[in-house]
Amino acid sequence: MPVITINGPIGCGSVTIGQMVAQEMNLNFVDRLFFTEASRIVGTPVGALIAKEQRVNRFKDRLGRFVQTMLERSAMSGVSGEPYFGRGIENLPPETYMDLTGEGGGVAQKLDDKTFIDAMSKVAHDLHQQGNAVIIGRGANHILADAAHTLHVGLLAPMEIRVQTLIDREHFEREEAEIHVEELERAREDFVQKFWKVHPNDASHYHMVLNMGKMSPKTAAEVIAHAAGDLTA
Amino acid sequence: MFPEVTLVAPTREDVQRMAEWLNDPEVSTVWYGVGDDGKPLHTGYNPEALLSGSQDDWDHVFSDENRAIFSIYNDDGEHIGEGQLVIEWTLLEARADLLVGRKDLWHHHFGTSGLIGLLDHAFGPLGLHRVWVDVPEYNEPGMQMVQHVGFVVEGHLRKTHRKNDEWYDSSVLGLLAEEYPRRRARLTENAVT
Repeated sequence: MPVITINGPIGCGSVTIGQMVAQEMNLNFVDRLFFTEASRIVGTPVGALIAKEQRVNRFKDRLGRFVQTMLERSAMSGVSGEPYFGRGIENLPPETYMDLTGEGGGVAQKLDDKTFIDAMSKVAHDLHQQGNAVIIGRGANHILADAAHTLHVGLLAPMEIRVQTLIDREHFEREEAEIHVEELERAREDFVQKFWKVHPNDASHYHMVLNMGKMSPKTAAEVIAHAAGDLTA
Repeated sequence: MFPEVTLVAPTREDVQRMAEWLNDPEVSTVWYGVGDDGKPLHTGYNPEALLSGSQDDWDHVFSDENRAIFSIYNDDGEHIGEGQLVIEWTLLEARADLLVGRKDLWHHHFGTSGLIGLLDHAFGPLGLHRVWVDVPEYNEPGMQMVQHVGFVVEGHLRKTHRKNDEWYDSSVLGLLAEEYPRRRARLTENAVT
Protein backbone atom coordinates (compact mmCIF):
# COMPACT_ATOMS: atom_id res chain seq x y z
CA MET A 1 0.00 0.00 0.00
CA PRO A 2 2.57 2.61 -0.96
CA VAL A 3 2.00 6.29 -0.43
CA ILE A 4 4.29 8.66 -2.30
CA THR A 5 4.54 12.35 -1.55
CA ILE A 6 6.09 14.61 -4.17
CA ASN A 7 7.09 18.14 -3.29
CA GLY A 8 8.72 20.82 -5.34
CA PRO A 9 8.49 24.44 -6.34
CA ILE A 10 5.88 25.43 -8.89
CA GLY A 11 6.86 24.56 -12.45
CA CYS A 12 9.30 21.78 -11.61
CA GLY A 13 6.98 19.06 -12.87
CA SER A 14 5.52 17.61 -9.67
CA VAL A 15 2.06 17.22 -11.19
CA THR A 16 3.24 15.66 -14.45
CA ILE A 17 5.59 13.28 -12.68
CA GLY A 18 3.00 12.47 -10.02
CA GLN A 19 0.44 11.55 -12.67
CA MET A 20 3.01 9.36 -14.45
CA VAL A 21 3.90 7.54 -11.24
CA ALA A 22 0.23 7.07 -10.33
CA GLN A 23 -0.48 5.70 -13.79
CA GLU A 24 2.54 3.42 -13.74
CA MET A 25 1.81 2.03 -10.28
CA ASN A 26 -1.97 2.10 -10.50
CA LEU A 27 -2.29 4.53 -7.58
CA ASN A 28 -4.72 7.32 -6.80
CA PHE A 29 -3.41 10.76 -7.67
CA VAL A 30 -4.19 13.57 -5.25
CA ASP A 31 -3.26 17.13 -6.06
CA ARG A 32 -5.62 20.05 -5.26
CA LEU A 33 -8.17 17.48 -4.21
CA PHE A 34 -6.22 17.46 -0.93
CA PHE A 35 -7.41 21.01 -0.27
CA THR A 36 -10.95 20.39 -1.42
CA GLU A 37 -11.21 17.48 1.02
CA ALA A 38 -9.82 19.65 3.81
CA SER A 39 -12.26 22.42 2.92
CA ARG A 40 -15.14 19.99 3.48
CA ILE A 41 -13.81 19.16 6.93
CA VAL A 42 -13.46 22.82 7.82
CA GLY A 43 -16.68 23.80 6.05
CA THR A 44 -15.15 26.73 4.25
CA PRO A 45 -14.45 27.47 0.57
CA VAL A 46 -11.26 25.93 -0.73
CA GLY A 47 -9.83 29.39 -1.40
CA ALA A 48 -9.39 29.93 2.32
CA LEU A 49 -7.06 26.92 2.47
CA ILE A 50 -5.20 27.78 -0.70
CA ALA A 51 -4.65 31.24 0.72
CA LYS A 52 -2.94 29.67 3.71
CA GLU A 53 -0.45 27.96 1.45
CA GLN A 54 0.04 30.54 -1.25
CA ARG A 55 -0.50 33.94 0.28
CA VAL A 56 1.48 33.90 3.49
CA ASN A 57 4.45 35.56 1.94
CA ARG A 58 2.43 37.91 -0.19
CA PHE A 59 1.11 39.40 3.01
CA LYS A 60 4.64 39.86 4.25
CA ASP A 61 5.67 41.30 0.90
CA ARG A 62 2.87 43.81 1.09
CA LEU A 63 3.83 44.65 4.62
CA GLY A 64 7.42 45.05 3.50
CA ARG A 65 6.45 47.23 0.56
CA PHE A 66 4.13 49.22 2.80
CA VAL A 67 6.89 49.89 5.30
CA GLN A 68 9.30 50.71 2.51
CA THR A 69 6.84 53.14 0.95
CA MET A 70 6.23 54.82 4.26
CA LEU A 71 9.95 55.18 4.89
CA GLU A 72 10.47 56.65 1.44
CA ARG A 73 7.56 59.05 1.82
CA SER A 74 8.77 60.07 5.26
CA ALA A 75 12.25 60.65 3.92
CA MET A 76 10.96 62.69 0.98
CA SER A 77 8.73 64.83 3.13
CA GLY A 78 11.32 65.20 5.82
CA VAL A 79 9.10 63.51 8.35
CA SER A 80 10.68 60.95 10.56
CA GLY A 81 9.16 58.54 12.98
CA GLU A 82 7.29 55.30 13.13
CA PRO A 83 6.41 54.33 9.56
CA TYR A 84 3.19 52.48 10.37
CA PHE A 85 1.41 55.32 12.07
CA GLY A 86 3.40 58.27 10.94
CA ARG A 87 2.30 60.88 8.48
CA GLY A 88 1.64 59.62 5.00
CA ILE A 89 -0.52 56.70 5.94
CA GLU A 90 -3.62 58.68 4.99
CA ASN A 91 -2.43 58.54 1.39
CA LEU A 92 -3.06 54.83 1.18
CA PRO A 93 -6.38 53.66 -0.19
CA PRO A 94 -8.60 51.94 2.38
CA GLU A 95 -8.42 48.55 0.64
CA THR A 96 -4.71 48.46 1.36
CA TYR A 97 -5.45 48.28 5.06
CA MET A 98 -7.82 45.40 4.47
CA ASP A 99 -5.21 43.59 2.41
CA LEU A 100 -2.62 44.14 5.08
CA THR A 101 -4.81 42.89 7.87
CA GLY A 102 -6.18 40.03 5.80
CA GLU A 103 -9.71 41.29 6.29
CA GLY A 104 -10.50 41.86 2.67
CA GLY A 105 -13.39 39.41 2.79
CA GLY A 106 -14.17 37.12 -0.10
CA VAL A 107 -13.31 33.46 -0.06
CA ALA A 108 -9.84 34.01 1.37
CA GLN A 109 -11.43 34.49 4.73
CA LYS A 110 -9.39 34.01 7.85
CA LEU A 111 -8.87 30.46 8.92
CA ASP A 112 -7.02 29.88 12.13
CA ASP A 113 -3.82 27.87 11.94
CA LYS A 114 -4.94 25.05 14.20
CA THR A 115 -8.16 24.43 12.30
CA PHE A 116 -6.21 24.52 9.06
CA ILE A 117 -3.45 22.15 10.09
CA ASP A 118 -5.86 19.78 11.84
CA ALA A 119 -7.88 19.46 8.64
CA MET A 120 -4.78 19.04 6.51
CA SER A 121 -3.43 16.39 8.86
CA LYS A 122 -6.71 14.50 8.84
CA VAL A 123 -6.77 14.41 5.04
CA ALA A 124 -3.14 13.26 4.89
CA HIS A 125 -3.63 10.54 7.49
CA ASP A 126 -6.88 9.37 5.86
CA LEU A 127 -5.09 9.10 2.52
CA HIS A 128 -2.24 7.25 4.17
CA GLN A 129 -4.62 4.86 5.86
CA GLN A 130 -6.31 4.12 2.53
CA GLY A 131 -2.89 3.71 0.91
CA ASN A 132 -2.04 3.52 -2.78
CA ALA A 133 -1.77 7.22 -3.42
CA VAL A 134 0.52 9.83 -4.87
CA ILE A 135 0.11 13.11 -3.00
CA ILE A 136 1.37 16.37 -4.44
CA GLY A 137 2.71 18.96 -1.99
CA ARG A 138 0.57 20.47 0.77
CA GLY A 139 3.17 19.59 3.40
CA ALA A 140 2.16 15.94 3.21
CA ASN A 141 5.78 14.84 3.57
CA HIS A 142 5.95 16.61 6.93
CA ILE A 143 2.56 15.43 8.16
CA LEU A 144 3.45 11.86 7.18
CA ALA A 145 7.16 12.24 7.99
CA ASP A 146 7.54 8.92 9.78
CA ALA A 147 4.54 7.08 8.37
CA ALA A 148 5.10 3.49 7.29
CA HIS A 149 5.20 2.45 3.62
CA THR A 150 5.65 6.05 2.56
CA LEU A 151 8.19 7.51 0.16
CA HIS A 152 8.93 11.22 0.25
CA VAL A 153 10.33 12.72 -2.94
CA GLY A 154 11.62 16.25 -3.34
CA LEU A 155 12.06 17.93 -6.70
CA LEU A 156 14.26 20.81 -7.73
CA ALA A 157 14.52 22.61 -11.04
CA PRO A 158 16.34 25.66 -12.38
CA MET A 159 14.36 28.86 -12.52
CA GLU A 160 14.33 28.85 -16.33
CA ILE A 161 12.59 25.48 -16.51
CA ARG A 162 10.00 26.52 -13.96
CA VAL A 163 9.29 29.79 -15.72
CA GLN A 164 8.95 28.02 -19.07
CA THR A 165 6.49 25.58 -17.52
CA LEU A 166 4.31 28.47 -16.42
CA ILE A 167 4.54 30.12 -19.85
CA ASP A 168 3.52 26.89 -21.56
CA ARG A 169 0.80 25.97 -19.10
CA GLU A 170 -0.75 29.30 -18.22
CA HIS A 171 0.32 31.34 -21.25
CA PHE A 172 1.92 33.93 -18.99
CA GLU A 173 4.25 36.54 -20.40
CA ARG A 174 7.84 35.81 -19.33
CA GLU A 175 8.05 38.59 -16.78
CA GLU A 176 4.68 37.65 -15.35
CA ALA A 177 5.77 34.02 -15.10
CA GLU A 178 9.00 34.96 -13.34
CA ILE A 179 7.12 37.01 -10.77
CA HIS A 180 4.58 34.23 -10.25
CA VAL A 181 7.27 31.59 -9.78
CA GLU A 182 9.20 33.74 -7.34
CA GLU A 183 6.12 34.71 -5.35
CA LEU A 184 4.83 31.17 -5.07
CA GLU A 185 8.23 29.86 -4.09
CA ARG A 186 8.50 32.40 -1.32
CA ALA A 187 4.99 31.53 -0.22
CA ARG A 188 5.90 27.84 -0.23
CA GLU A 189 8.96 28.51 1.88
CA ASP A 190 6.90 30.56 4.31
CA PHE A 191 4.20 27.92 4.47
CA VAL A 192 6.59 25.10 5.36
CA GLN A 193 8.63 27.31 7.67
CA LYS A 194 5.53 28.49 9.49
CA PHE A 195 4.02 25.09 10.15
CA TRP A 196 7.06 22.80 10.32
CA LYS A 197 9.95 25.17 11.01
CA VAL A 198 12.08 23.83 8.16
CA HIS A 199 13.01 24.81 4.62
CA PRO A 200 11.04 22.91 1.96
CA ASN A 201 14.19 22.17 -0.05
CA ASP A 202 16.06 20.65 2.91
CA ALA A 203 17.00 17.21 1.55
CA SER A 204 16.89 15.60 4.99
CA HIS A 205 13.08 15.61 4.82
CA TYR A 206 12.96 13.39 1.75
CA HIS A 207 14.04 9.89 0.82
CA MET A 208 15.45 11.42 -2.33
CA VAL A 209 15.64 14.72 -4.16
CA LEU A 210 15.63 14.78 -7.97
CA ASN A 211 17.02 17.61 -10.06
CA MET A 212 14.63 18.15 -12.93
CA GLY A 213 17.24 20.21 -14.70
CA LYS A 214 19.16 16.98 -15.21
CA MET A 215 16.51 14.42 -16.11
CA SER A 216 13.24 14.08 -17.97
CA PRO A 217 9.90 13.71 -16.17
CA LYS A 218 9.66 10.18 -17.56
CA THR A 219 13.00 9.18 -16.04
CA ALA A 220 12.07 10.79 -12.74
CA ALA A 221 8.78 8.88 -12.71
CA GLU A 222 10.61 5.62 -13.37
CA VAL A 223 13.11 6.30 -10.59
CA ILE A 224 10.31 7.08 -8.13
CA ALA A 225 8.28 4.03 -9.13
CA HIS A 226 11.36 1.86 -8.72
CA ALA A 227 12.11 3.28 -5.28
CA ALA A 228 8.48 2.93 -4.23
CA GLY A 229 8.60 -0.69 -5.29
CA ASP A 230 10.80 -1.33 -2.28
CA LEU A 231 7.96 -0.19 -0.03
CA THR A 232 5.76 -3.00 -1.23
CA ALA A 233 8.48 -5.64 -1.24
CA MET B 1 -15.62 30.53 -33.04
CA PHE B 2 -17.67 28.45 -30.67
CA PRO B 3 -21.36 28.04 -31.51
CA GLU B 4 -23.76 30.38 -29.79
CA VAL B 5 -25.93 28.80 -27.13
CA THR B 6 -28.45 30.10 -24.63
CA LEU B 7 -29.22 28.69 -21.21
CA VAL B 8 -32.86 28.95 -20.19
CA ALA B 9 -35.28 27.44 -17.68
CA PRO B 10 -36.50 24.02 -18.87
CA THR B 11 -40.02 23.60 -20.22
CA ARG B 12 -42.12 20.41 -20.14
CA GLU B 13 -41.27 19.91 -23.81
CA ASP B 14 -37.57 20.10 -22.94
CA VAL B 15 -37.95 17.48 -20.22
CA GLN B 16 -39.84 15.28 -22.67
CA ARG B 17 -36.90 15.56 -25.09
CA MET B 18 -34.47 14.74 -22.26
CA ALA B 19 -36.45 11.56 -21.62
CA GLU B 20 -36.27 10.65 -25.30
CA TRP B 21 -32.54 11.36 -25.54
CA LEU B 22 -31.79 9.34 -22.43
CA ASN B 23 -33.72 6.40 -23.80
CA ASP B 24 -31.12 6.21 -26.56
CA PRO B 25 -28.43 3.81 -25.25
CA GLU B 26 -25.74 5.73 -27.11
CA VAL B 27 -26.66 8.84 -25.11
CA SER B 28 -27.22 7.18 -21.74
CA THR B 29 -23.89 5.37 -22.08
CA VAL B 30 -21.94 8.64 -21.99
CA TRP B 31 -24.19 9.97 -19.23
CA TYR B 32 -25.08 8.04 -16.07
CA GLY B 33 -25.86 4.73 -17.77
CA VAL B 34 -28.86 2.66 -16.71
CA GLY B 35 -30.09 1.48 -13.32
CA ASP B 36 -30.73 -2.06 -12.15
CA ASP B 37 -34.16 -1.84 -13.77
CA GLY B 38 -32.55 -1.11 -17.12
CA LYS B 39 -33.93 2.42 -17.23
CA PRO B 40 -31.62 5.35 -18.00
CA LEU B 41 -30.34 7.31 -15.04
CA HIS B 42 -30.37 11.07 -14.81
CA THR B 43 -29.13 13.46 -12.17
CA GLY B 44 -31.47 15.58 -10.06
CA TYR B 45 -34.74 14.27 -11.41
CA ASN B 46 -36.31 11.45 -13.38
CA PRO B 47 -37.68 13.00 -16.60
CA GLU B 48 -40.48 10.50 -17.13
CA ALA B 49 -41.58 10.59 -13.48
CA LEU B 50 -41.50 14.37 -13.47
CA LEU B 51 -43.67 14.62 -16.58
CA SER B 52 -46.32 12.49 -14.97
CA GLY B 53 -45.98 14.22 -11.61
CA SER B 54 -47.64 17.24 -10.06
CA GLN B 55 -46.83 20.93 -10.37
CA ASP B 56 -45.40 20.72 -6.84
CA ASP B 57 -42.97 18.05 -8.02
CA TRP B 58 -41.97 20.28 -10.91
CA ASP B 59 -41.48 23.30 -8.67
CA HIS B 60 -39.50 21.23 -6.18
CA VAL B 61 -37.01 20.23 -8.88
CA PHE B 62 -36.67 23.51 -10.73
CA SER B 63 -36.86 25.88 -7.76
CA ASP B 64 -34.20 24.09 -5.75
CA GLU B 65 -31.66 26.69 -4.64
CA ASN B 66 -29.03 23.96 -4.40
CA ARG B 67 -29.38 22.88 -8.02
CA ALA B 68 -29.55 25.16 -11.04
CA ILE B 69 -30.91 23.34 -14.10
CA PHE B 70 -30.83 24.87 -17.57
CA SER B 71 -31.94 23.80 -20.99
CA ILE B 72 -29.37 24.55 -23.65
CA TYR B 73 -30.62 26.05 -26.92
CA ASN B 74 -28.64 26.73 -30.08
CA ASP B 75 -28.96 29.94 -32.08
CA ASP B 76 -31.60 28.33 -34.28
CA GLY B 77 -33.78 28.15 -31.19
CA GLU B 78 -33.50 24.38 -30.95
CA HIS B 79 -33.24 22.57 -27.64
CA ILE B 80 -29.98 20.60 -27.76
CA GLY B 81 -29.16 19.57 -24.20
CA GLU B 82 -29.10 20.30 -20.50
CA GLY B 83 -26.65 21.72 -18.00
CA GLN B 84 -26.78 21.59 -14.21
CA LEU B 85 -24.91 23.12 -11.30
CA VAL B 86 -25.22 21.16 -8.06
CA ILE B 87 -24.32 23.78 -5.51
CA GLU B 88 -22.81 23.53 -2.03
CA TRP B 89 -23.31 27.01 -0.70
CA THR B 90 -21.22 26.50 2.42
CA LEU B 91 -18.19 25.80 0.27
CA LEU B 92 -19.21 28.21 -2.50
CA GLU B 93 -18.73 25.47 -5.05
CA ALA B 94 -20.73 23.45 -7.53
CA ARG B 95 -20.46 20.28 -9.54
CA ALA B 96 -21.20 20.90 -13.20
CA ASP B 97 -23.03 18.34 -15.34
CA LEU B 98 -23.67 18.86 -19.01
CA LEU B 99 -25.30 16.70 -21.65
CA VAL B 100 -25.70 17.46 -25.33
CA GLY B 101 -28.62 15.21 -26.16
CA ARG B 102 -28.59 15.87 -29.91
CA LYS B 103 -26.10 13.29 -31.18
CA ASP B 104 -25.78 15.04 -34.55
CA LEU B 105 -24.27 17.99 -32.66
CA TRP B 106 -21.65 16.01 -30.75
CA HIS B 107 -18.04 17.05 -31.41
CA HIS B 108 -19.15 20.46 -32.71
CA HIS B 109 -18.20 22.40 -29.56
CA PHE B 110 -21.76 22.82 -28.30
CA GLY B 111 -20.65 21.20 -25.04
CA THR B 112 -17.85 23.73 -24.70
CA SER B 113 -20.25 26.61 -25.32
CA GLY B 114 -22.74 25.19 -22.84
CA LEU B 115 -20.04 24.71 -20.23
CA ILE B 116 -18.82 28.28 -20.68
CA GLY B 117 -22.42 29.40 -20.15
CA LEU B 118 -22.64 27.39 -16.93
CA LEU B 119 -19.30 28.77 -15.70
CA ASP B 120 -20.29 32.33 -16.54
CA HIS B 121 -23.40 31.83 -14.42
CA ALA B 122 -21.51 30.10 -11.59
CA PHE B 123 -18.73 32.66 -11.28
CA GLY B 124 -20.93 35.60 -12.23
CA PRO B 125 -24.43 35.88 -10.74
CA LEU B 126 -24.01 32.98 -8.32
CA GLY B 127 -20.63 34.22 -7.06
CA LEU B 128 -19.22 30.74 -6.58
CA HIS B 129 -15.54 30.09 -5.89
CA ARG B 130 -15.01 26.66 -7.45
CA VAL B 131 -16.73 24.55 -10.08
CA TRP B 132 -15.71 20.94 -10.46
CA VAL B 133 -16.48 18.00 -12.67
CA ASP B 134 -16.07 14.28 -12.21
CA VAL B 135 -15.17 12.61 -15.50
CA PRO B 136 -15.08 8.83 -15.80
CA GLU B 137 -12.24 7.40 -17.86
CA TYR B 138 -14.56 6.14 -20.57
CA ASN B 139 -15.69 9.68 -21.37
CA GLU B 140 -12.59 10.78 -23.26
CA PRO B 141 -14.35 13.53 -25.27
CA GLY B 142 -15.67 14.96 -22.01
CA MET B 143 -12.19 14.92 -20.50
CA GLN B 144 -10.72 16.72 -23.50
CA MET B 145 -13.48 19.29 -23.41
CA VAL B 146 -13.14 20.25 -19.74
CA GLN B 147 -9.35 20.44 -20.00
CA HIS B 148 -9.72 22.57 -23.10
CA VAL B 149 -11.96 24.92 -21.14
CA GLY B 150 -9.25 25.18 -18.47
CA PHE B 151 -10.22 22.78 -15.72
CA VAL B 152 -7.24 21.44 -13.77
CA VAL B 153 -6.87 17.80 -12.77
CA GLU B 154 -7.15 17.90 -8.98
CA GLY B 155 -7.12 14.18 -8.51
CA HIS B 156 -7.45 10.88 -10.29
CA LEU B 157 -9.18 8.13 -8.36
CA ARG B 158 -9.14 4.43 -9.13
CA LYS B 159 -12.27 2.38 -9.65
CA THR B 160 -14.87 4.90 -8.54
CA HIS B 161 -17.45 4.57 -11.34
CA ARG B 162 -19.44 1.40 -11.84
CA LYS B 163 -20.96 0.78 -15.23
CA ASN B 164 -22.22 -2.45 -16.72
CA ASP B 165 -20.78 -4.42 -13.78
CA GLU B 166 -17.30 -3.00 -14.25
CA TRP B 167 -15.43 -0.40 -12.26
CA TYR B 168 -13.78 2.55 -13.95
CA ASP B 169 -11.36 5.27 -12.84
CA SER B 170 -12.41 8.89 -12.78
CA SER B 171 -10.75 12.27 -12.64
CA VAL B 172 -11.88 15.22 -10.57
CA LEU B 173 -11.10 18.49 -12.28
CA GLY B 174 -11.68 21.90 -10.81
CA LEU B 175 -11.68 25.51 -11.85
CA LEU B 176 -11.45 28.42 -9.42
CA ALA B 177 -13.07 31.81 -9.87
CA GLU B 178 -9.67 33.48 -9.94
CA GLU B 179 -8.45 31.12 -12.68
CA TYR B 180 -11.49 31.45 -14.90
CA PRO B 181 -11.12 34.92 -16.48
CA ARG B 182 -7.65 34.21 -17.88
CA ARG B 183 -8.63 30.80 -19.20
CA ARG B 184 -11.91 32.01 -20.64
CA ALA B 185 -10.11 34.84 -22.41
CA ARG B 186 -7.53 32.43 -23.83
CA LEU B 187 -10.25 30.05 -24.97
CA THR B 188 -12.28 32.64 -26.81
CA GLU B 189 -9.13 34.29 -28.21
CA ASN B 190 -7.96 30.98 -29.67
CA ALA B 191 -11.41 30.29 -31.04
CA VAL B 192 -11.42 33.55 -32.97
CA THR B 193 -7.95 33.12 -34.52
